[in-house]
Amino acid sequence: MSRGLRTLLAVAAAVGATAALAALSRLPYTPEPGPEALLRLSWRARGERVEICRELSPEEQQELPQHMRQTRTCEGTTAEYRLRVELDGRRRMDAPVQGSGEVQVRPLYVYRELALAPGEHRLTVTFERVGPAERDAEAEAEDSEEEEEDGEEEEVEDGEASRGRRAREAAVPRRLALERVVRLRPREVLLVTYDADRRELVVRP
Amino acid sequence: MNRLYGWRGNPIYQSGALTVALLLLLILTGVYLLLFYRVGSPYQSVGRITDQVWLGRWIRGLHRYASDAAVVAAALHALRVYAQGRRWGPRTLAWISGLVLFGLILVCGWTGYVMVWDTFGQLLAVEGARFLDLLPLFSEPIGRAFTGERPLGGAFFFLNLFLHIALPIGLGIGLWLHVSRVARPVLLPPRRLMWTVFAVLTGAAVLLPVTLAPEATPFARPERAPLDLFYAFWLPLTEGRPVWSIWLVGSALVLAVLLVPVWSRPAVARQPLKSVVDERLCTGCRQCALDCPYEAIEMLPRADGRADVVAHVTPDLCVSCGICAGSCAPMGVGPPGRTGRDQLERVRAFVAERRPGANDIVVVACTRGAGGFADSDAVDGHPVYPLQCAGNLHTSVIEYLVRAGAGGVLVAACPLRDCWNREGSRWLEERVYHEREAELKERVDRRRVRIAHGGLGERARLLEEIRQFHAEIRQLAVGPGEERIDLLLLCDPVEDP
Repeated sequence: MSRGLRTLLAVAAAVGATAALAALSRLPYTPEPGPEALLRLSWRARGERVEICRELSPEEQQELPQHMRQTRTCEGTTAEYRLRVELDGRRRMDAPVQGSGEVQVRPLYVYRELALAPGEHRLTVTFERVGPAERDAEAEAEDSEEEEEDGEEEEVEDGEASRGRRAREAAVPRRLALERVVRLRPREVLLVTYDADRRELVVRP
Repeated sequence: MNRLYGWRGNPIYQSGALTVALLLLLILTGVYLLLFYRVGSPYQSVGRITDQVWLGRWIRGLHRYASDAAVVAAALHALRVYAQGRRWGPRTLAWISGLVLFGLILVCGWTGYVMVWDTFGQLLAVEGARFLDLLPLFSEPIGRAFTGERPLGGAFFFLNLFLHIALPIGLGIGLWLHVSRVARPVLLPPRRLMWTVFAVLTGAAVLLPVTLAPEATPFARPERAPLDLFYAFWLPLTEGRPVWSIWLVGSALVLAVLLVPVWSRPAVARQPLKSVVDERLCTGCRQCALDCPYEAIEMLPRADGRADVVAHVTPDLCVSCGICAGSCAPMGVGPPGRTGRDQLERVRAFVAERRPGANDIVVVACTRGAGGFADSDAVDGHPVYPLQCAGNLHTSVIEYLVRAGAGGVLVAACPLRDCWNREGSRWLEERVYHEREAELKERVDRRRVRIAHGGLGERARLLEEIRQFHAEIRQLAVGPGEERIDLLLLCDPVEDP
């Protein structure tokens, strides 16, 4: 091989390799091809705290350090919720949502995606608390009764009642519902999320 | 490659050093890009850089192409090391640290693409979040950051930028570890090759400028994204698949590659023996410690009452390259069976059997490269004397062959940058031509000795060199071969304790 030919081949090989490098660094790629649009449900909310309280017996109180003695003890968790999605009258999702964390006392997270055909759809999303409604009613009644009572002895319990009410107010409402007709373009992503200020489910964009 | 670029310019031989050079180029170009990057408006700031026709565009292009070339060079380096079997025993640390470095380069590129925040960056971010959400690391799914519930804050891009800058620091530490068990590590390629690569990449950045894909948006699935195959080769395979299966397959693959030093090492009985020192012969000259490419030999005070020091081989560091055998004039060190004395015994038997004449060239061929001559009994009619590594060759063997009457000795060695034992070919040249200790004695006619370098695929060129050498040898006067040669007497005398 002559020197000239070798130089030519060397340059051609270098140019070819560089062109290949440039081409492979920007391959046209369509992620998950297809016209399907996407319904995305994503939000974070504070779930309602469910507490089971009882009075401590004098013996149990004695076992506690003096500065920790209370007459009442409560063990709690976050209430369970249920997420349901209907599209054009057909149930597409029905899933429980629990508080995150090992003992489920951390906020609730919803992060689900559903592929759907582009076009017009009647969308219904409900997110509601699961659990005995009686207990809720009892708890509310208890809170309001406690608030009405007078006297210094009741101040601690009164504080507990307002804390309970405030916690319920900060939590996501017991039932959220969204009903809407949506029109989706191919590959559009429609987000349903919870607006904590308005305390309702909203659609974006 | 050698035919086109010569061994000095062969990028495969320089793949490791090229990776380092490209990483340095990435740091330089990255510093410039950092001046204009804004975490508060990432896409717009990259857009402004791309709009700087004279500087920003090509520096961004150079940054991108250099990063791609770094992945290619690192992968080539790993494949080459694997193919050469340099992946177990004392080289385990280099193998594992090399893989970690490769992983860091990939993650660094990942964060670099997310910084741009175009459709491709979004794909990488979302997929990465999907992988991480399987691990019990975060208090809430990090994938929710990209759903569009709220604008992606500057904090995310700041964290990403931090990682993009901090990871190269990790690369520096990893590189130190990677080369910590070798002497005289070569961290940069020859200047000519390095500047040529930089120039070619610059040319690509100017002629094939890197463009900007559409801005990321959480409210549409991108129609098209420019996929960088070097950093996201896995993306088409993982998209849409269950995360647990990706973790399972990915972890199995990574583990299999990390454990290469375990599953690919030869059985103990087939492992080459480590070098040992015959303390009676060691004169404490330190040459073996200087020549050892793996810093496996140290000089310790003698315990036998004689003055000075004695060589000591650390078995955990010795790869049994045998270079010390070639570096020891009194033939007191080397792997059992391959010391200078063993080589002399073997060459005596070889001469007795093959009886090379004045018209013959003895081709001393390295078994790992050198045109594959070591597998043949003869090349072009000339007898072949196979050798595990040219650096292992004691110069007394060359002298013995010449004095025994062979017309000439041609050592077919691997190219200098392709020696499986790093410096074998280099030390051999210095011993033959530059009087490095254990040098070829002056009395040996240098016209009868030749060193030819070539890889496995360079048989034809090496054959041509043999023929040319043979023609030169035939012009020389024929001298009588010596009947009884005792080269051991010619070595530096060692006092018996």
